[in-house]
Amino acid sequence: MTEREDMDWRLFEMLENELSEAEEAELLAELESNGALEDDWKLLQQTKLVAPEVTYQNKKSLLKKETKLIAFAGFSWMKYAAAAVVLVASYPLWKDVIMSDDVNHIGSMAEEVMEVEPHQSESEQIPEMVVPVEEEVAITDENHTSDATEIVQEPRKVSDKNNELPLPAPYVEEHIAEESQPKRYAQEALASVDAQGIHGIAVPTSSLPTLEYGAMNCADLYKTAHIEEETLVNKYKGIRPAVNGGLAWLSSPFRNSKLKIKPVDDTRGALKIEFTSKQYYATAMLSLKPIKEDQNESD
Amino acid sequence: MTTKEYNTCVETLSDGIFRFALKHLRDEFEAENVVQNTFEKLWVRKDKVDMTTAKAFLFKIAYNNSIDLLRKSKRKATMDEVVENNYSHSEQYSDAMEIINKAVDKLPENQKTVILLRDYEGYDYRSIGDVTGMTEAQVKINIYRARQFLKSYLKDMQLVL
Repeated sequence: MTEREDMDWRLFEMLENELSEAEEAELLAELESNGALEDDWKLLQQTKLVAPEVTYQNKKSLLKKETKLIAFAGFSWMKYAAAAVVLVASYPLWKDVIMSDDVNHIGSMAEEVMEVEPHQSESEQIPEMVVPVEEEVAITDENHTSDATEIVQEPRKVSDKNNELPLPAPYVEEHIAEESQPKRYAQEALASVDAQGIHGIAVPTSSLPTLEYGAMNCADLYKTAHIEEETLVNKYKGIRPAVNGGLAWLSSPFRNSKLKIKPVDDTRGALKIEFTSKQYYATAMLSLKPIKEDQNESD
Repeated sequence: MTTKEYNTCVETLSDGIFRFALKHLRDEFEAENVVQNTFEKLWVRKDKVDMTTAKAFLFKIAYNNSIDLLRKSKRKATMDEVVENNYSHSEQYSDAMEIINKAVDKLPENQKTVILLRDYEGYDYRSIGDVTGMTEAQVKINIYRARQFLKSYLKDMQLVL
């Protein structure tokens, strides 16, 4: 660096307030003794820019409206109010439950079916509508009643093995004993319904899978699928039909509906929830960020 | 950053961003677009930016946006153009301030950026480095070169006048 460049650099540093007091005093003394250098310093001082007054006119278009988050935790009474409203609204559905004399209604659908359908003798049911029953039912079910034994031992008209669904081996070994009872009831119920021709729907029973997991097997589904609403309310008293009916009633406005949940932006700080149905369209924004304390205070 | 803090940034910083973009682009419409884009990006990232870093964030976005626009429009001044224009004084200047503003427009973009941030916004070298991606030494040398250019430009203009 030449002497001239060195002097320019020192003047620049003085303009930038980077020199110590001693260095600055020494440089100022040099300036007083050197007129050309002093002219340079004056020119350099003029390079310090002064910001012009500029106003951006469209500030309003940039401003955002404040949105307040609803803290649901602070409105716990709403949960109880909502629950009360639901209970009151569904009173016609559950009043039969609480007014029923039968305290043993808490059970499987198969039990309900057996209770409300008029009993018919096995001899009337079985020969007309033969339900394919696996041999393992009679063999492995140790708790079978005498009725169950009779059903299995009835001569079969349909022996098409191709139409019978095979029973999964683990199921047979582990669960058949404890679940054969409701299954048998369901099969009886199915047979009795079709035998009476209540609903007039001819479904080949051989095409129905009769063995399924749990007390609610396919026979139950077949049976309940044809229960009319009035029949359900008036005849089928019990917890499960009432609950199912209530849920169906509550969900009826939301049929054919779509619920989309997607992040608002790539920061994933909020979710946008869109609900679309034939009747309704609603959106909601859900912030995933906790409400800051200072924000609460400012709000 | 809350919505309230974002709005505070708009109120206090939008003028500076607009001035900064206008000085670079010399086009009011494009400068307004830069301001819009800059604050839009701040709004999108407001959860990641707090008030202490908002100003640097905004100027960095505005700087990058302005440079991109300049490159696209090919209006970036090269050093040759600056030297050429330096000695072709056809305008009549009323005072030193106007001369110096004209001279700033002739600076290379990196020098213009650092001197605008230094003098208009009062940034220190490190903050300017955060905006421009330069080291502190690079910032300092660019400010030095910018001032030397402005000084010589003023000297030449005084000789002409």
